[in-house]
Amino acid sequence: MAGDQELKLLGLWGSPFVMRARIALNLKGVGYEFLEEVLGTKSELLLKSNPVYKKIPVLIHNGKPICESMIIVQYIDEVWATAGPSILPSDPYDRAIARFWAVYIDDKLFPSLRKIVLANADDEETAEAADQVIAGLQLLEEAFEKFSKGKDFFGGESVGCIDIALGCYVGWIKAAEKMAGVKLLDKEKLPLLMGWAERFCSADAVKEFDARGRQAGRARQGASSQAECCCHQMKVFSFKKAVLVA
Amino acid sequence: MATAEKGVALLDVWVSPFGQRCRIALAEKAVEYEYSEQNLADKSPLLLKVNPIHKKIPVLIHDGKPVCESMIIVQYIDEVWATKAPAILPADPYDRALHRFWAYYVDDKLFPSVSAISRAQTEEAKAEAMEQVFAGLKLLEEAFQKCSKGKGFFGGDTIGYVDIALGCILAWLKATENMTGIKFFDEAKTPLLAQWVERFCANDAVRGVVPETDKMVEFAKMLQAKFKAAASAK
Repeated sequence: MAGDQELKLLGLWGSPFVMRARIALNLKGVGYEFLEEVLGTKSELLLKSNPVYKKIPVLIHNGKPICESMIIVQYIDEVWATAGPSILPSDPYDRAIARFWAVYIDDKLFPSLRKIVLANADDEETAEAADQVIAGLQLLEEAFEKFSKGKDFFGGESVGCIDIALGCYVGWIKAAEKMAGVKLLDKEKLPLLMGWAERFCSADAVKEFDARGRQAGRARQGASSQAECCCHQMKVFSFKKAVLVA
Repeated sequence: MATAEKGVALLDVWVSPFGQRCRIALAEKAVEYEYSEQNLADKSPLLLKVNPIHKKIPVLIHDGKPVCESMIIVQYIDEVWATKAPAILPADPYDRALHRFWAYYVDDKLFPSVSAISRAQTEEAKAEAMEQVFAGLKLLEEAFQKCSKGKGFFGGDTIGYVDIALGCILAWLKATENMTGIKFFDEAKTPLLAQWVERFCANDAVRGVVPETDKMVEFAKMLQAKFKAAASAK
């Protein structure tokens, strides 16, 4: 029913938000055409499909555009409900909690992370932002203990909504640590999240991005992940309002 | 009773548009609940316990379990009481994505520009904030056309997700219109929205929970005085 239909994803390979959509599509085993935007420009298709925000990712399904990464993830989960694992939990209360953390991650964690990547290493702002990231990750460490119920992911046995929302930032967190010389994902303070991060990056639906990133990294500047490349590119272009953010 | 193990309670503040969203959704589904007015200047131990991260209202407590964030609460109400009509989110996944997008836009862009009007200390700042609000309402006029499919609400025949997301600010906007003489919903500029406003405010579920304009005006004046004092204290 949802099968052989026209499915396109507008994005940039370095973008954590685009990664969310791609992971969701991978989880559902759905094929799609990836249309890569050029950093610094916006294609006609992008401007036409997302006239309000003009940002990626945009999923275009049978000509109809869906915008905003977590809205796209929920859309994929609903359209391909019978394929692959459920991304959102089935219980309404658990769904509310998953949505709560997805909002928290984007509203509180990401702005602080972004400050570290774009601010100068000597800046006081970096230290403050790092503290905020660590405080946020501490809350997520506690949330992981509660929701994983001893299993591998926030979603239990398989990658779920919170895993996708947070996991797309793992590369950025690692890159931020290197760029600003700040330890964010500390094994001693955040043991559960450290274990989770490894498992997330090696999950079937996710690992292709890491591997590709490593290849691309070696080809470019010897950086070890796509996120590092992406962060480096952002600095080079002095992108304050990155095309990447959606 | 707000701490009871069974039943529904809403921690809220009467002026809050975010709280109103929850009240409208609960009224739409005819769910009985205990309303608990909070004092944000002196937050209750209960509020701090159920929303330790943000310490904000609204919080819905259902059978002892708290749900935070207004539109997350609205979705929760829609899902828990799914067998009670009307549906708040549409059934079709694409329509759901569309509604979620516009509700997000309202929170991300429209409401901050509405707040900016109150906070503006100069005429230029005020004018700029109003420009942004009008631009946003123009986009929402187009959104209404897409979402309503010729019917009376964003949700079609009945009040839906975007109606709730946007409609909760109307009491505040009416108070601002009252105080400034500015007409936000102009029949000439956004005819569909202007008619929608009348329809929304006349709705039974809405009428029972929305504050009166007089009380809102009183509150708005008090808030403006606060902003002015804060600005001159800097």
